[in-house]
Amino acid sequence: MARQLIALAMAGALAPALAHADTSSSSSVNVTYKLTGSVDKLCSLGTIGSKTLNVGTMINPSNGTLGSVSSQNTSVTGSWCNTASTISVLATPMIAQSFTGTPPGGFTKAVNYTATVSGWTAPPASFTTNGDDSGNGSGATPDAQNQANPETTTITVGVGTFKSPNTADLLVADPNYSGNITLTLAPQS
Amino acid sequence: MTRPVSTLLGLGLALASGAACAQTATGQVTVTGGADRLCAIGAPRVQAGSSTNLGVVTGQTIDIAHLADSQTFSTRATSFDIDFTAECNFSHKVELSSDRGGLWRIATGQVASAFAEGVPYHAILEWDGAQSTLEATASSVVALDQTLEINAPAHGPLVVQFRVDPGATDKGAGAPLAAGTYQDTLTVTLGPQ
Repeated sequence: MARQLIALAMAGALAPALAHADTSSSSSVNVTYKLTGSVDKLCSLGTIGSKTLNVGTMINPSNGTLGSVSSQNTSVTGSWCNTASTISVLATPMIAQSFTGTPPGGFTKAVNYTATVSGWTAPPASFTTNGDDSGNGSGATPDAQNQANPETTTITVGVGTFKSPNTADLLVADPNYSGNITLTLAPQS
Repeated sequence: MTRPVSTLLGLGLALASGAACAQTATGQVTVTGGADRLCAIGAPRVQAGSSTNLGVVTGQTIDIAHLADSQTFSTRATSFDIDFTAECNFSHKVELSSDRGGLWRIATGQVASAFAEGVPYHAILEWDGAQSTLEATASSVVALDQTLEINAPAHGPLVVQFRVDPGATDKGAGAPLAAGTYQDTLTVTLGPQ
């Protein structure tokens, strides 16, 4: 892009001498330039306030099942798209990182949740993980929402509605359950 | 004329720079949490249905109906199961311990040496498909324990099968039991290995 415009500027400087050496005796000479350019469709994701959302301990100490887990969120500031755009979100279940193999019957090493990306579109983009007791089979198709206009605003990424794959599942002990949320901002084609 | 072109050139460079990064932007957020280690064990329940010689159960005290046989005066066979609802969400051990290593008479005076004052028993621990037997031989008044190591989380019924063989005493098979109260305490413990 940058090289094309430089050439245009050079052409503008040379044109009067070559093409418009009008020798008439008229007192005025008209020179017309047609200037063109283009702007690509672009999206930029801003700064993520907190790249880790820690929901703390998730176990119900009275019976070992999933306890009450509070929602968490973070802001993404400085995002913009200069055209109509699509925002999408895909998430993976939280999985116990140090537990290897399949958990015994009645136990789970995975916790599902809903990731919501709001502020850019209404309704927000939202993905609910649906893994089994090992965290498998959660799905790989992100939820996408369209924004019809160029936009610049703060995006909020939130997690909530935590659930074990089966209601009575017991959580295997692990200090680090971890899942990922991937959000994508793209121009509409 | 030069200035407007120059301005356009500047804009072109700025946008071209953005286009060089990406037209599609992606970010990632990690969600983390934890689950504490937990072991839990419910109240014991004595299974009376398949029992033999089981007396009154009061809270966590189990009374054997007739420890001595009325004909032989030696030990009568006794059998009952105790189960607990239990769980541990990590690799753990379960320990079954006896305070006295047998059912021992609470001493209330001298008895003739022909009489037995101790009754041996077996306590079979079943948990998560594994089994271990505590042999309380009543050879002396001593604490004993038996441990099962379980290298996985487990939950379900934990069962202790309590068995007294007929005629079993600390003085040999068939010895008569001295009159009195005989007692031991069994403890089940779930915890880290």
